[in-house]
Amino acid sequence: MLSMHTIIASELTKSYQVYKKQPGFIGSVKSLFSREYESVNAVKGVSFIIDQGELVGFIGPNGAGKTTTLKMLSGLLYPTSGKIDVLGYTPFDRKHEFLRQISLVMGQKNQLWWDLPAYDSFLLNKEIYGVSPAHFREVVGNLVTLLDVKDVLNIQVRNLSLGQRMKMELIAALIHSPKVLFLDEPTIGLDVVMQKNLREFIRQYNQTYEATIILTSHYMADVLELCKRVIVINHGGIIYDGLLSELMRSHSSYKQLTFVLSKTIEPRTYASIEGVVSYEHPSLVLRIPSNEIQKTLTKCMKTLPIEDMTISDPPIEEIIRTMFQEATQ
Amino acid sequence: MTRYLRLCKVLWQINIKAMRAYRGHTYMMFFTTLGWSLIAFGAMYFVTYRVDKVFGLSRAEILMITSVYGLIMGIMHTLFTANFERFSQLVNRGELYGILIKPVSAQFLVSVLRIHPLSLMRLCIGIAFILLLISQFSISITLTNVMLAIPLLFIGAYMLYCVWFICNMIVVWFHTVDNMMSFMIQASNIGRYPPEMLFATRNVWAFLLVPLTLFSAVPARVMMGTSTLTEIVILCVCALAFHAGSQFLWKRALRSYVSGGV
Amino acid sequence: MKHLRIFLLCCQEVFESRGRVFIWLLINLFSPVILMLFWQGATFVSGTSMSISSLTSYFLFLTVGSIFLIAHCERQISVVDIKEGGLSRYLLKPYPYVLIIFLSELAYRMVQGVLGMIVFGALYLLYHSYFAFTLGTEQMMVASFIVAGAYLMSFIYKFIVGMSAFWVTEASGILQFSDMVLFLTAGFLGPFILYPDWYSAIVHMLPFAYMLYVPVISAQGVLDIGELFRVLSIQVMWIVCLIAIAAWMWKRGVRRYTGVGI
Repeated sequence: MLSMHTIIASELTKSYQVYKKQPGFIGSVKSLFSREYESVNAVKGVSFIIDQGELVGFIGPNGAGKTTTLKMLSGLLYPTSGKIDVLGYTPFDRKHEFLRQISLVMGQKNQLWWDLPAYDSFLLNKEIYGVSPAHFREVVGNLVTLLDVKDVLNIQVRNLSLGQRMKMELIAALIHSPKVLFLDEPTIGLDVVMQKNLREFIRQYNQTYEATIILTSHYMADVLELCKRVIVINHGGIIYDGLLSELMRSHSSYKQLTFVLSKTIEPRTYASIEGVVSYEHPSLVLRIPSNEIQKTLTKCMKTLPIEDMTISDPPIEEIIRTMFQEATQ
Repeated sequence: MTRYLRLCKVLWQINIKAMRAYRGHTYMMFFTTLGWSLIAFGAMYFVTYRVDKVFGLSRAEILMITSVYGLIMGIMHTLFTANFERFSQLVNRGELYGILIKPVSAQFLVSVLRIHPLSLMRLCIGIAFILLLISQFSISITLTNVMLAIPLLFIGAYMLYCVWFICNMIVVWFHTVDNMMSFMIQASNIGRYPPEMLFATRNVWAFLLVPLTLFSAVPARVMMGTSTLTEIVILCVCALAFHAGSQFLWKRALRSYVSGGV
Repeated sequence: MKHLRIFLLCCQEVFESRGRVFIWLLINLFSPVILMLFWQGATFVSGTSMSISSLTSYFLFLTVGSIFLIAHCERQISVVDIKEGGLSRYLLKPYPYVLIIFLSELAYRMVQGVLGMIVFGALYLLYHSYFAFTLGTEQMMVASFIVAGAYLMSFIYKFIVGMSAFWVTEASGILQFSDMVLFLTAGFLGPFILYPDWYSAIVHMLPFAYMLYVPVISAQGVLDIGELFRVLSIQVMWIVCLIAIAAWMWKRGVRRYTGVGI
């Protein structure tokens, strides 16, 4: 039976056995003969549905279970329990028809042949994925132009910069025009310009090919620019699954006021004002409940030498941080 | 099948290119491979210099077994050794994903992604050594025997490949064991010696190692016309059994794989 | 106290990877035990002054000797530390790198050595009727210095081989060449008395025989007290040469180190 949805995850769980070593030399000698193992639940009962063409951000702190979930969705890991359906296939069966339609790019790993130019790795992938020569030329030509890497196509991968390598990784992963793309921290370690380029490329690819993309990242700029929908995961469980705008609206009961002051002020001057976060002349930052903005503004106008001011939502990093802290508590 | 043959062709081309990337290293590897190839035969030649017989086998027969062993190891080192040496790194650094995500038999890719063309030298030196033995010891070899021995050579090589594969899978469960391939190469050295050596010990543990002597001894004996049907059947049965074992263990290993590293 | 603490930490590291330690033990055991079995069935041409019992005890001692005496630090130094940039963390610490490697190696040798003695005991029980051991007290004392000298030689030699990575990007060719030379000249295949005389003469001019072969025959009691002292003086001479080479290579090599890693 064909599924209407591209990805369906239902009560997905993954546990690992982790060895607990006792400290010290005696502990090490004991470990020669017997070892204690602890079960760690990396993913606990995760469920979600993703439709074709969605670009979903998968965010969470380190060790939350993002990469583990991605690996189960791509068939690399066998789930301890739960069901997954990607494009109508069970990923772990790793049927070739399924694998031809997906791709996984991990920002901290390298799939390309280190001592050869990236183009040779593309040729290998062409054979592996059974891509016709004409389609290969067209796709590689387009991707190379989009990512602007024509000049470095024939340089050894080991001699490329991190950004260039990441672009080549993406091209290698997209030669077969996959319908589902899993991106695990693709912009990690890249400079701001390269990050922007890559984001633009991912957005274009999603729009042009209607590919379903799941993206994990610690850079909120990636999520803000690319994803309408986010799944927030912490301690192996989903704590939010929905629109990013909804998330920001529901968690931003506070506003951030930033004043630019015309002259230096004493601490006692702003001591009576509630919600002061920081003062570093000429900038004074306040964080106040949304329903008290007018009252606070009126008070500040009277007491402070204000030259300019901005009212903004708290940064998404703060919203996410608050969410993680609340979830931990 | 055609697809896999095309893939093999591309893998050969890529590996030869990778070899040419470091010329100094390639020259060094050429000489060490040549050295090891000569040692594989020469060492046994010198060590049996003052030997009359071993377990009832003449020096010529022992050296023939060593030569066939060298031939088979040439195939193994060309196609598989570099891959199995990398296997623990793939598992421990979480790099196996690059292979598992591809729509090609993962066992195939894990086993032959990296090829070492220089090791074909061992094949050539093995053939040269066999010809030398035939002339020096006046061994009588017929074309029929050679034609019968060739498929058995490949069956022996495949059986050895399955044994290496099975043993290397241990890394999936025991992550710190990154020296399994070094052990397999040592253990495979037993292929230089006749199975009679293990039978003579009358020890159960020694009997378990008998298949590791058959992969070279049986083709060598078929070539010299001294083998029995029983030996040939045992070799084929062992190859089938290890094949089934490798398939079963690979499936279990993938279920237990925890994708180490990040 | 500092050195003892570091040594104990190295021992802890060895205990953590018990699988790897066990496999290393098997690697060191396999060849000598198989060769010992091989020679059990050998009959020699007339005029050869070698008996089965002396061969058996040679291989029994070789089994333990190869575990205790042959260092294996060259891959750690060349690949993990120099090529992949791991050396940086040691260079930043006020503790000599060579001492860390020495203590780490010593921990491995001692743990494996303990396991090796257990295996030696088991093999002795099986083959004690073949065992020939004639070592007096005076000989035993000098032999123990020879054994210590052999380990020191082996360690410094492997340290030198590992440091070759300062000059080449890919040192695996050099490491393989070194393994080959050691295999041929350290006595792994059997006592040199079995080989042609010219071969035996050449290997005694090289340091490798003094790393394994000579300590083994010293422990067997084959050499008299005068010969033992001669061996000891040759070892001291080689140790001084190797230390000088190692010091020179370290001084030059560290300047070339780029700490880039992969």
